[in-house]
Amino acid sequence: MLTDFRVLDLTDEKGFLCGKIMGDLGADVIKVEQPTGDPARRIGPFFHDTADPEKSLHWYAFNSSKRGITVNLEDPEGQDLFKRLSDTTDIIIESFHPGYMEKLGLSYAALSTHNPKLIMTSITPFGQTGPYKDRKASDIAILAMSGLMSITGDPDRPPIRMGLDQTYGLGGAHAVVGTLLALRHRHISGEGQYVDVSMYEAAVRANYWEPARWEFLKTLIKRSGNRFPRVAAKGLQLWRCKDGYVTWLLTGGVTGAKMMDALITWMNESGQAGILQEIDWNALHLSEVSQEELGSWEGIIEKFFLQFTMDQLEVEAVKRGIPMARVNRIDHVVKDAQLEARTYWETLPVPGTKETIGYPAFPFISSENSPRVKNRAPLIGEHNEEVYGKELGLSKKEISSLKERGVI
Amino acid sequence: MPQKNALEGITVCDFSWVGAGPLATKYLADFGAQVIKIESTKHPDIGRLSAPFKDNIIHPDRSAFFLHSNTSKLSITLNIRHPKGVEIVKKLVKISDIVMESFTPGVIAKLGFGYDELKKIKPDIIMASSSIYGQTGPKAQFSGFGNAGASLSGHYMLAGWPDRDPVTPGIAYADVVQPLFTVTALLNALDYRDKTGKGQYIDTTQVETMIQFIAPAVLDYFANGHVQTRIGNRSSYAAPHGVFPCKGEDRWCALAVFDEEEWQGLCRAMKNPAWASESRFATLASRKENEDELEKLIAQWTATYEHDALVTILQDAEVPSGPVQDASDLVDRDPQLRERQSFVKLTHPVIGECNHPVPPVRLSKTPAQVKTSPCVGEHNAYVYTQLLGISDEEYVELLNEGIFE
Repeated sequence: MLTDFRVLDLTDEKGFLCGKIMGDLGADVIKVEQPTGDPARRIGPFFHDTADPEKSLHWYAFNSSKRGITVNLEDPEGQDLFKRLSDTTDIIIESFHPGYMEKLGLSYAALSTHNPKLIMTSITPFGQTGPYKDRKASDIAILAMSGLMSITGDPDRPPIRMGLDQTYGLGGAHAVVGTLLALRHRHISGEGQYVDVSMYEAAVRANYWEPARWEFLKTLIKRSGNRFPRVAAKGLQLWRCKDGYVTWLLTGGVTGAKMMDALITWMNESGQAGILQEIDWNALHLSEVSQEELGSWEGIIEKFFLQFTMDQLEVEAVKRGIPMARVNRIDHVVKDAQLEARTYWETLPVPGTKETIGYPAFPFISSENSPRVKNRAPLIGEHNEEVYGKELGLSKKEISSLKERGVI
Repeated sequence: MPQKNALEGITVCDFSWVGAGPLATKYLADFGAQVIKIESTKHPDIGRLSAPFKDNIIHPDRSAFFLHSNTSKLSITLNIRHPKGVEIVKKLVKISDIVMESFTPGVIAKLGFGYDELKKIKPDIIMASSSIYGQTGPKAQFSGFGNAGASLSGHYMLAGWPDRDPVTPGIAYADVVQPLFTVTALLNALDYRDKTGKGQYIDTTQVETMIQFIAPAVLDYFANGHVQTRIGNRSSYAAPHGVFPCKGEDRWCALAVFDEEEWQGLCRAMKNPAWASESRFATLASRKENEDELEKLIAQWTATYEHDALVTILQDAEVPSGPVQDASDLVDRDPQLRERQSFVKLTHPVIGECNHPVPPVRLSKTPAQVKTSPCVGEHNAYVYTQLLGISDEEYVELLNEGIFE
């Protein structure tokens, strides 16, 4: 566990996940907000749908396992205070525009002269260098540029993004990897270093197939709705059933034949396999099948699936060795028997109420030191006294003076 | 002086294949770990059989898909079902810090290499299993293909147009999300081992890692009973927020307005048309209410520009924006990726000179040092004789017995 380490988290919504995961891993992560509260507290959804900076569920989700303090970094006194904190810290995570920390006198170069073991991780749309570093971008702009949107969506509609802000997750999770690598090096060498994470590069990395296709074949795939776009006859990946959808892909050849045989046996138990039973799946190459022919087979299968619920399809598919998955809505996800058996959910209190709500408890399981969400997200300045007083040694008088002057 | 590596001295015995497993060990290898990929000539990694192939010739050493997920690794071939093969695996485990696998849960134990067995060989071994749904629980036997992680975790239902079926992500998305947490778990385990001397067993799943990225939607259900669903390209906290048509065939530009300053920027960029000052577009709340109309009006404006020209105008006005690009833009044109060397040109022994993806985390003192990906069994002689100390004589004997097939 990272219990020995202190992290100062200066990120906005683009970088929250990094500190959140470090917190789950046991680090003492202190979210640093401006005295009026982090602007990201405006992001919904909100507890009981009441828009309130202390009730943002987005904030709760990505800032649990952290403590919270406030400081005005644009105030010279605030900068001094932050420098003192920085000297007690192992890691700083930030997501300001490149150059902003330097303008405040808080660049890695400046802070690490006092604390050479310090690691600083920056999470920005394009990274700290390059012609695009000063561009303004949010999730959808980054995803658009990554090439992922050009291959996602229906052919007759605009390219579409994945749900919610995925590039912020990709950037944040990469930042955890970079920070832990830097910690590993520090453990061996004693020296800190600077980690530069580009969300754009993270999204381009997620587009892990297409750059090679272009380089070697000079072909591009087009968005094709729910059809697998990478072979000539594009197979359906999303199938309707009685109460929702399942995902599955018709495949031939050595890998597909076993599954197709199992499916046809199942269909034949009610005499529904039709022409499908006449096909030699072992010898079938989808590259040699026309879209029309594939469509006629899929029509038969679609009719069959429509007679079942997701639960029924899931049970039969597992029993028969057919790689099929339910397309879960969020309410299915939270009621999933597998996740429940693995104690995936944790309840934490909602501040100012007697209620609790559920959270994802961990990103992975370890036999020795499993991470786990440890506390709800902080209120604005909730730990000012604890951190500035008890830990930094400021007197009550000093703290209230800082408060009065809007430094914290 | 040679560059330092963050994972200098770490050895990984890698049974993983296809997507999520190899993409995890790629990070370890690129940052200096010695990753030994265990393959077999009869059953090479399925990733090796995935297009695109160099010159369109289907061959396990010509897959660029495989290359992009397996840089900097070593490859050996070994018959792990033969008793002598099992003995060699044990030797490998003895010199390894980490064992990685991504078979269907239960398979690795049946092969005789479950964590309990490995612990006997090397007490402080760190072992990680990567699966879709987990090693324990009622659905541990689940096996699925590429999109299972996105569909079981709820991601799939969050993507698409509200008036249509949900839409498949253009990639097996979980295959790139899960590895980040697998690597996190492994680095966390190395830190723990350094402090306590203990190894551990790690169980990472596509479903549990993917939910981390959509946690607010989960809390929204627990707190409010809301089942979030697909909303196209819109965002709950921005308007406008989407992609808009530009001049040319299938050309688009993404733009997003989160606050008043950015709205003023957009109005400036549009040269302040009269409609933009109407009260129905004055606040974020009112723009959300009239979003259909807002999008139509903006689309009329964007459609008069080439997408790159439009982005220049929007960036000058400090509006978050970017063109919808495709893979040819990334590989042939993008100046940002070029300057930061996001793809580095290296020479693969069979494929020749080509792009190799560099991890998107830049460490100032221990940067990734990407090497090319291995051919099937390329490092047999090195691993068996140099690392494991098998004599030349015995090596030839084992070779003749087919142990290295």
